[in-house]
Amino acid sequence: MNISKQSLRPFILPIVLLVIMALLPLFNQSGFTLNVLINVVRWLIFALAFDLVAGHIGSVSLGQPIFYGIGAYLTAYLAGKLGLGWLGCMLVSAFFMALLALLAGLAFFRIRHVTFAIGTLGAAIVTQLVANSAEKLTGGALCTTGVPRPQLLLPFMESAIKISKPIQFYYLFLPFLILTLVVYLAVTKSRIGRAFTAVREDEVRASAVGIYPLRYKLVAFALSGALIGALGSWQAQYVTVICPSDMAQDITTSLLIMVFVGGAGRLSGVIIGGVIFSILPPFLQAVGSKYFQPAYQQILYGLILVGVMLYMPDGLDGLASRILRRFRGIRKEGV
Amino acid sequence: MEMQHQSNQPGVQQPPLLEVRGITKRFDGVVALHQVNMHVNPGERVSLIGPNGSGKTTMFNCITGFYRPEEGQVLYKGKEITYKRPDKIVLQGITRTFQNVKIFPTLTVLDNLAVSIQQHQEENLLKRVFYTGGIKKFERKAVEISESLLELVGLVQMRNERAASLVYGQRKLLEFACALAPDPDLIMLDEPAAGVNTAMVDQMKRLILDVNKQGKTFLIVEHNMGVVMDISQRIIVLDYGEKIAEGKPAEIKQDPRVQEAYFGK
Amino acid sequence: MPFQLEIFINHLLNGLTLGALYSLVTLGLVLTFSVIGIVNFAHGDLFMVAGYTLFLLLNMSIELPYVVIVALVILLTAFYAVVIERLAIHPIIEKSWRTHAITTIGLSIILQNAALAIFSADPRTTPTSLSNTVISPLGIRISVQRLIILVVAALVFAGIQVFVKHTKLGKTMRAISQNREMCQVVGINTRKIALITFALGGAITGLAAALITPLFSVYNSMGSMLTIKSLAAIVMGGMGQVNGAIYASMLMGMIESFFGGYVSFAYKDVVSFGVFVLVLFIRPTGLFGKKVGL
Repeated sequence: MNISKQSLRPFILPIVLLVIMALLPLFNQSGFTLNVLINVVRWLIFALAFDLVAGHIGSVSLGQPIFYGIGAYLTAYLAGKLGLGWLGCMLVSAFFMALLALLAGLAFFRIRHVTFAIGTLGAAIVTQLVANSAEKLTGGALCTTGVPRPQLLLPFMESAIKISKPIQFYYLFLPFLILTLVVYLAVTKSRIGRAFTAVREDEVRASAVGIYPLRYKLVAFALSGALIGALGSWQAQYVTVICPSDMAQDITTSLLIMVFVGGAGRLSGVIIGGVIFSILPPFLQAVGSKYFQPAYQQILYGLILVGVMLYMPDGLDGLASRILRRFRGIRKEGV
Repeated sequence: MEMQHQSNQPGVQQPPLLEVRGITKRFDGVVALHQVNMHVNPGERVSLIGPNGSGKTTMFNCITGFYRPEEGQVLYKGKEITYKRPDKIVLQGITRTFQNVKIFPTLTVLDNLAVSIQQHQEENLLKRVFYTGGIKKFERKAVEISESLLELVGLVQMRNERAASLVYGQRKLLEFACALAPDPDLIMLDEPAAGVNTAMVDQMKRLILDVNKQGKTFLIVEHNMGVVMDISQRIIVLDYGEKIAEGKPAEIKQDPRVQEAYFGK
Repeated sequence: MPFQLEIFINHLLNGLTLGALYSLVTLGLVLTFSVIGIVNFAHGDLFMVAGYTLFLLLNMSIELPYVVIVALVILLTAFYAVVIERLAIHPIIEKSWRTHAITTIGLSIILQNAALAIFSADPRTTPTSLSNTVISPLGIRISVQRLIILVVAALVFAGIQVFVKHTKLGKTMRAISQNREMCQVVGINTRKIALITFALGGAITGLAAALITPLFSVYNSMGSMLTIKSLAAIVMGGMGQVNGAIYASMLMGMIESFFGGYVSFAYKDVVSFGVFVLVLFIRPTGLFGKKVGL
């Protein structure tokens, strides 16, 4: 296959993004900047994993924070009680959350469309309520605290370094984003991705060309669950505290805003939405906390979400590509 | 033309490609099909006709696994496929089109074809997860087949357009090409001539006859009687879910029961 | 612990009122879903806004009789529903369920945070003289407010049955809920009906809020839980079947009351959602058969 401009295009934005993110701390290492960057990494991973299900196979799961929460609680146990290392915790969490996703998927994919959304939302609420009530297991509303911080031991080092500074966390976290991007691209730009699209657009038609919709839904769900489970595991070790509210519905709302305002089912859309809406809150807080309360920020988000749904169904990404196309058109005509 | 001769020769006993035995399908107590028997021989062009609501599309859905009939069996190449999943049945070599034209609108025209082929390529590959070596070859092959089919139906210049940008007639051609793509033995078309202009009706007829010459078997539901008479070797008539007649086009034209079902007393 | 009839009856009554209350909240949502085909994730928030309306009306300098206030809340909530329909629902009515869901989730965010900005997160109580009056016929203690809820709920359900089966508008709604395309073909203005249905759903929600909030309190984020409970009832009732949704709401109220009373109060919501999730797996088409529409 010849490598054309066309086939390279999907890689441009993620590579530019990663280069910027890798270099930024060299110029500015303030706590604010690092905090924002870590936030961007976290939300991008979360949004990409969410989009595998919501954007690509079209099943809007409102229960994805379950994998995050259980992955985090699992890590608190594995790292705190069993002394498992950080990478081990992430892998075990990813594995079990993929397994959970498969089992849950077998049940939940019996229902579809809006019923699926309602069912997964119900599951999310049950999980959060259980986490709140099962105080012996989770600490309830008082949270599980004291999750050990990661220790990094590389071959040339004499003793392990305890990862505790934000900059260390950030550079250890960044490869996980790269991995997520690679998985996302590898899946969606391949035949599997084509089958995902087929399943999303028309399940009946998909079965008529030999695709078993459930199989692909499970693949997407398990991948998403694994990535989010690993993310929860990582986050538990970064903030050292896990609360039932880490699975709250506003997490899902943020994901919906990022993915659907940015542009669902498209990498550039998720990147645009994820970056904008993970940078915006800290900036609004820093700049405008004097002028407006968090409620106004949320109202703004709500308005943006509704506005995009009403006037830009393709999201910001669709708008951007329309503008780009127009510029190209003008340039061509000019020459 | 050899295969057609074979199937039309009297006395030559050849197992049918598709056999439907005593299919009954009810919806909430309403009988949509009642004890229908029918068969399609290899290489044949058979039409399934009948007034609206007579059960033609229900029969299609029972054969292709989208409906589960309450009674009866569907046999394909002598093997029972009655309660198999639609995707399994397609992979055995029965493809179909839909009355209301189904394509994947956001996939490109080429990808619509490629996605119709890929599952068939991977079907016999148990190492689905680890096929990295074979997958490139498969993909090249899929594109090759897709392009030759686009040439056949005259959509080459639309190759990289989203299927959503096709007009109705072009969508029908694309859906037809998708049905051919995995090299099936039996192609089931649900109203191939409905809603398109006369030029395209002629193109569709020509395509069916050409593809049939290459040995493909057709089972067609169609309302346009001109088309049915021109392309069918045998016609099966359904009315109120029961088979009321079966025969060559000329015989069907004369059949009083058919005339009654279509035009009233 | 010996079985005590009094406690049992108490739980039963509690379950009945809880169920009646859930069904009143669900009714507005299931109507719009059944007739318009839109699942409104901001439904509970409409209830919340109606609750604050009641709070404001009760705290006005002029003291109005409760009946007048209830009527005002009903009218105002119907008006809010119409505004919402015009601004946000009408433009997307022909779009996919995904657009419906996300738009109404956006609406929910706006309403919840607008309420937060205006009223803060503190719960506001709206006691009426009735909610504190307790009567005890046959030795069973029940507050008058609860009794009113039970009676009004029964009247509303009966009214809906009559409305749907015996009025022209109701019959039209029923027809649309069963076959929208056909109704468009025969020239029924489905968009006008959508607006009317929204107004009706709003009115019922306003009535529910005016009756129920005096027993509890209003706070900005209360809508989420109401929405999800109503949605659960609708799914269990068989997606869009009005009667099914009402039965399912009653069932949820009973489960919560008895489980909360006899087993564990902390886990009552877990159990009622657990039942919902279980129903999804066992009977994805709902508990009460698969008849379509109203």
